[in-house]
Amino acid sequence: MAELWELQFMRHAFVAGAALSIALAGLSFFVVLRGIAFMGVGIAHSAFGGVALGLALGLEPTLSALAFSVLVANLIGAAARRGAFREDTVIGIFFAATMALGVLIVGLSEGYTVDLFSYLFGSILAVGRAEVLQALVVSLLVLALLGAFFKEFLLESFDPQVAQASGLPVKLLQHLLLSAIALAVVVGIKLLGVVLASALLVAPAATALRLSSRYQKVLALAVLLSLACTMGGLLLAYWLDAAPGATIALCASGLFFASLLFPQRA
Amino acid sequence: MSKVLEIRDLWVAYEPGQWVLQGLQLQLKEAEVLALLGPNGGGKTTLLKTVLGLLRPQRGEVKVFGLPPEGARPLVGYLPQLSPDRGRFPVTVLDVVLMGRYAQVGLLRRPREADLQKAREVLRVLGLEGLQDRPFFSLSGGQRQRVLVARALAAEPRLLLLDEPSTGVDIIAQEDFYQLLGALRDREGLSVLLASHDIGGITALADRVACLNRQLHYYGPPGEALSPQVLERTFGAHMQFLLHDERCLTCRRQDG
Ligand SMILES: Nc1ncnc2c1ncn2[C@@H]1O[C@H](COP(=O)(O)OP(=O)(O)OP(=O)(O)O)[C@@H](O)[C@H]1O
Ligand SMILES: [Mg+2]
Repeated sequence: MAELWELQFMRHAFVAGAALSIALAGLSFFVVLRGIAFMGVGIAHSAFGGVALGLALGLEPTLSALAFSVLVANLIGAAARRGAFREDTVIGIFFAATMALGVLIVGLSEGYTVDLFSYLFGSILAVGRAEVLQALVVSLLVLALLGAFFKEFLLESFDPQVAQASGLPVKLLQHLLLSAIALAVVVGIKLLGVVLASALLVAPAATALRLSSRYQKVLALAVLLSLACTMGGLLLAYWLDAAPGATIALCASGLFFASLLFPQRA
Repeated sequence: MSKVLEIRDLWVAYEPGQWVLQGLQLQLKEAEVLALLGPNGGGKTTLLKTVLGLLRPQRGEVKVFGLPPEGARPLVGYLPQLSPDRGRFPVTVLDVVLMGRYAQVGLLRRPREADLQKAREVLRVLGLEGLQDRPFFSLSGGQRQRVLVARALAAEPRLLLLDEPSTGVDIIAQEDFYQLLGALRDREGLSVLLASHDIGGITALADRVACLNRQLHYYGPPGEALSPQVLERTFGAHMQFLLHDERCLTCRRQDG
């Protein structure tokens, strides 16, 4: 273990991975309870459109992916409300539209294809100082948001009508949560690949919900499971010389399947 | 006595031209219970939502404690007609009742001991203290309804808006609840606006009754309100309710 810490790329991977896995676990609590599991995949695909757009317009692709995905997440929220649809319905449409936009732009501008994929599916074992910093900043931002407005998010997820009737700014809360999800997923994709980001956005809370019906415990367990899978997955990937995104995602989903083998805990 | 609720010439529609509330005129004073009676689709829920500011009227004026509805929300407790159904949402009964105090607790603050005590007290008053640590989703329909009433009361509201509070609640709990509402009105000056189908039971408690079927067919004390003529006008040919007292005899039950 100690000698792994000597390796700079492992250090980077552990720090960025830990921060991001905690933030994603916190978000997964609300993602699962609100039934918007599709959000992760939807945002991942809009990030593709964002990168393509950035490259075409000569912007920094990571920043354009972040901005574009946050925009799309908010449009999803607004469209769902306006059309009185469940978020997942609207995500299904945006998911195709933004992906199509990306494909179109790539097709129109020869030569970007290689770049695009390296931006989207960068490996955690190759992250630099800047990316670690980015992961830390976004994770702290997400956790600060969840911490500051936890009880409001809880009430709004449980009973939106009463939340609104009691004077909470429900629209603002919805948009903050969607923006936070978009930020965390895009940074997650950048570092760890699309599979991992969506896995950690759903599996930790889903597994934790099998183990407890108290939100305090569910949250704590989700964070623990997510962290354990990220650390364990990184080590395993290093030893096996495998893709860390895959080992982490397999761990998170494996734990979920394992939890199904046992009876639901009160 | 000050005016808790003042409604003037209220018109509300969900779709243009389809008026659900037509020219309503209503008042509610402090320490008064006003029962809203009317058939399914008569506009009771719509009226409550308008008083909460969840719906905006196309015409007319709603003042709650002299304020526009949004401004009065901290003074208002609300029980919706449909209880939340979010599957295995991991909150206990006590957590749910505590949610009623979030507005009092305020943004960026955590509930304090006093809030917890208030939540426990309300549970005790409603005879639910034994359930406080149970997961909310594990309760029966009637138990849930009573917990949500407790949540509305935990906010220590000056005005309570209840949309069919006795749905699924057994006779004993219902009687107890009406007594409790009466006591809160008499002791603490609480005002209550409640939609109900329990014509017989509610008129013993209500100071005033409003018969609503798109228009207000009656607004006044309960005794005369329930004349067969008024009920006939309100419920029309779809009289779906059996009165619980002697007046039953004069009401025909018709299936439309
Ligand atoms: N969201 C909506 N969109 C369109 N029309 C609606 C909507 N909600 C209610 N309505 C219509 O408004 C009318 C009044 O409905 P409301 O829910 O206020 O009745 P209610 O008196 O509460 O009935 P119930 O006793 O069944 O609860 C009904 O005709 C209903 O179809
Ligand atoms: Mg109703």
